[in-house]
Amino acid sequence: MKKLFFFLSLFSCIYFFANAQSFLNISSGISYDINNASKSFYHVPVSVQWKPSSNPRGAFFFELDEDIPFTTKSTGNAYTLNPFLPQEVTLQESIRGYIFAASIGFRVYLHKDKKLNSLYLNILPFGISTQSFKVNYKNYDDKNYEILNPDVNLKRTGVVVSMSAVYNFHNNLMLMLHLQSPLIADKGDYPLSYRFIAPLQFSIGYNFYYNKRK
Amino acid sequence: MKKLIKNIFLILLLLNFTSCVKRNFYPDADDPGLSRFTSYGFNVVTEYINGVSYINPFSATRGNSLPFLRKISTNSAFDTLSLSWQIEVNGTQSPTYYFDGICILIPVSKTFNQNDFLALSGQKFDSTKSAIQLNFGYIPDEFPGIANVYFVKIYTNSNDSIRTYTISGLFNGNIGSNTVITDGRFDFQISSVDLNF
Repeated sequence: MKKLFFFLSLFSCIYFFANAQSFLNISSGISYDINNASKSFYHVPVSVQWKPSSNPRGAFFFELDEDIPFTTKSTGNAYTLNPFLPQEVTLQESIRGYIFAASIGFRVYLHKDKKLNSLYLNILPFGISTQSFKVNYKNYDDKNYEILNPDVNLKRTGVVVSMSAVYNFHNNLMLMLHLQSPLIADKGDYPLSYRFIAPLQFSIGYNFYYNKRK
Repeated sequence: MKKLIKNIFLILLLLNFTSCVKRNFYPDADDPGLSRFTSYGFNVVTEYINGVSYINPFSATRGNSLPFLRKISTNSAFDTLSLSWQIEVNGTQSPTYYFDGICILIPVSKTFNQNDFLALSGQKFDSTKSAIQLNFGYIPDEFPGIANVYFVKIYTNSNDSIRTYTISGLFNGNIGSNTVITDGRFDFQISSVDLNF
């Protein structure tokens, strides 16, 4: 909720008070993790791009990404010494991986047609990202059972790089295919069943232009 | 210049000798006095003895102390499989611990070998079949107590004659009514060359 408020505040500030900016873009869609082989994380990404310069070519921009997670299901085995209980049970494990990223980058125009639809490449060589994993075992009786090799919660902040292909059409609409690297951060030496997420996002968005060149 | 290179070499050599090993201890979120129940061969064992958390000792140069697994020949119809390790109060890392070690004793056949040992994976021994013993100092206690032991997972990484076994399990027990061991869990890695069976 706080992050939603942050996004809305940011959007409002930029839209109403920053006269020199070229555009603000907000987009959303679906995201699929390509870094975890055994289990994959799906998200609903919400991205905000702000391009402050009015120069249509070669301008840098800022991007904020918040990925709202779907729950990823897995299983874990738990064991007990209690002779009155089943000695082994399988528990349903759920993991939610939250992602927030703030990046800076530049865009490279690739193509523009007669209807002013355009295709360009966003390159974001530097970003700071936080990935937070919340692990839960459903119906886990922690008084009687011990989970073997349990997954645990993890929260790390580190550096990411990302890249996206963007297609602008119908003046203000855009389609974006966005790939972000996994977090470059220390995961610790305890083995976990999951790795840092590398989201591949497909999203559709809207460009709010201001200070448009004629 | 030669002297400088020599000094750098000496410093690097000293750093190599003083390099530290990290203790394998991963606190359980539900019970921070215990390490998580794992089967990665971390050579960590934790348990409560009369409510106090104990762990196997640690050395900065050698890591977590290793367990001893051996078969003890007896005059009875069965031999005894003994799994033992040293302990200290968790968090103290001082030599002033009260108990010196724990020893789990299980009756096995006279022909017990390493394949039989692998077959213990998933087997539970209740207090009628196994005994648990606390050693005071270096002298084994004459009055072993009773134990419940569950070898949750025993596996090896190869079929070679020299191989490594990873053993993880749960245990609890008591010696009379004065010494109660609860919530024990171990995760060991043992080389076949250290076994006498």
